[in-house]
Amino acid sequence: MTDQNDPRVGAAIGRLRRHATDTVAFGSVPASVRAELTDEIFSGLWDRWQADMETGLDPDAAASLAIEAFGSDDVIGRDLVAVYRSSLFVRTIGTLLPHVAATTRRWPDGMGRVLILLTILMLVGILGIVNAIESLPPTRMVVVVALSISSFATWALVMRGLAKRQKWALALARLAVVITLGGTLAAFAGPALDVERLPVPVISGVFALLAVWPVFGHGLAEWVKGSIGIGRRFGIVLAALPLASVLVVAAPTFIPEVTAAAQSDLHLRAISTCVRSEGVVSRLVVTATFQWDRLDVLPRGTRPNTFVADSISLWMEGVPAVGDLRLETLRDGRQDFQVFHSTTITTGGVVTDLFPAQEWRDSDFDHVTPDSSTGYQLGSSIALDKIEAGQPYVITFDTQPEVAATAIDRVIVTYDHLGVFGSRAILACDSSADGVTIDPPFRLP
Amino acid sequence: MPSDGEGPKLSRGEFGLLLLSLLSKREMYGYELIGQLRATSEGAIDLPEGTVYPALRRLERDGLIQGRWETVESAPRRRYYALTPKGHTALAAGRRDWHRFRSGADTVMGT
Repeated sequence: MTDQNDPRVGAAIGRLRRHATDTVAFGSVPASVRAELTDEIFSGLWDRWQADMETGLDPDAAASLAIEAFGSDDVIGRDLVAVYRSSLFVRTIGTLLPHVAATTRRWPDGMGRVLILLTILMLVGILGIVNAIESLPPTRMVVVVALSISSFATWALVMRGLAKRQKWALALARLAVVITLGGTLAAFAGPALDVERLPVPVISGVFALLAVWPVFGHGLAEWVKGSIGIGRRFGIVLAALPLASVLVVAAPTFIPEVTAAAQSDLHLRAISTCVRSEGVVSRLVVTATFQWDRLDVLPRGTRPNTFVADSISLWMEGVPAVGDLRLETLRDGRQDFQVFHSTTITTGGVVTDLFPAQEWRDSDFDHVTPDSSTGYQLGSSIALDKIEAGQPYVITFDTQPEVAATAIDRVIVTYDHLGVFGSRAILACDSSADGVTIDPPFRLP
Repeated sequence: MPSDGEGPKLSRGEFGLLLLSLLSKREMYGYELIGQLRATSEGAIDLPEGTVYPALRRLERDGLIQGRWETVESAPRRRYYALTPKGHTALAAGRRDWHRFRSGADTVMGT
């Protein structure tokens, strides 16, 4: 009979109970059977303990013998894993996140800071992605969300693995910091790592990361020292996982967007007519016809209340300058600039705004034209939500130069689709031309 | 191959068959089973006592045995196991296979 009031008995029973609990924990046993299996194992340990005490051993020695005869908690636990979990679980989660005995669970110095750092990195990443995906078209949105989920799952796994003393998790945590550091620097400082371009918060963040870096050193290396290898194949897969984080950033630029209109879907044609009076051009009429074969499913992603507009503009060269008009004056947005009078005629009411005629100099376009130093530009916004695919739209620029020109050297009509791509027709007086595809930046030819 | 002194190891299936065989006589609990195994084999089969629990849970999962809890005075409750009809069938088949294997092995070894 056991004397429950004997403190040695209580301590011995506690050891037996702990051994049973650890064995079940090592076995990754489902929660539904954990308690009763622990009871059953404890019952077996108790019987053995009682039998040993009957031979004259004290409670503590008998408990030691019972635990030794039972077998190591991790070995028996591994047998239990095979009973309750699939072989896939054993080969994946069971390998990556094995149970750690309660007696060796105390975190080393710096572990908390590392987990906080990884949590912050994850939260910043989540905020950035949530903000970015709103403006992505559907296909890219799906890819970015899928990559983001795998990326965050990886980092969550890393944090769990670190808490479970796994060497692979420490390696990936270090990689996370390097990727974040490199990615942030590359994003803000550019490929040439121009430090002057770094904003203060980024510099502060970099210093914070560098300050935390030492905790990845000796303390944590010691913490994960006893972990069992995960095998080369698993290692390769895990090493590739952080790529998802990198791809999240890069994906939108290289994934073909099947739900968005392409350059080949836009057609542009322009016709110019110069009306002459006594040998000079008194009026220039440019008619631009554009048509979309298909349009973006979501022109600006799911971001609500976003006005999206394309623009079509007319550029004229060879018209004499107006004398004392200064570029600064024009940039102030004077609406009554009278170099040209312009009337816009549309079909379908797609034009939402008329840009005033403006004088531009070559420097504005970072471009040098050999025969002209000055040009005039006017244009209009086109509301994309009013456009229908397959429908031609006509815009007429009816312009009257106040300063008479003997000729108009060159007329350029540019259709700019959200700054993503465009079409441009180049023509002279009394001629016509089809647009050709252009990519941003839309500088003059 | 020289002997390592530990004798042949039991496979998971063989261990299960031995447990089924013991349970075919009467209901038993884990600690009792491992003791019976040791005693009946005259010490030839002496496994860590904890190995019996995963084996019992596997047999129960496969529907070959059924467990029930029984309260014990002044001790933790015990889980007793008994053979199910499926367990009896499996035991009969296992015994046949074992005899055939042993007979073949004896012939090869000349014992």
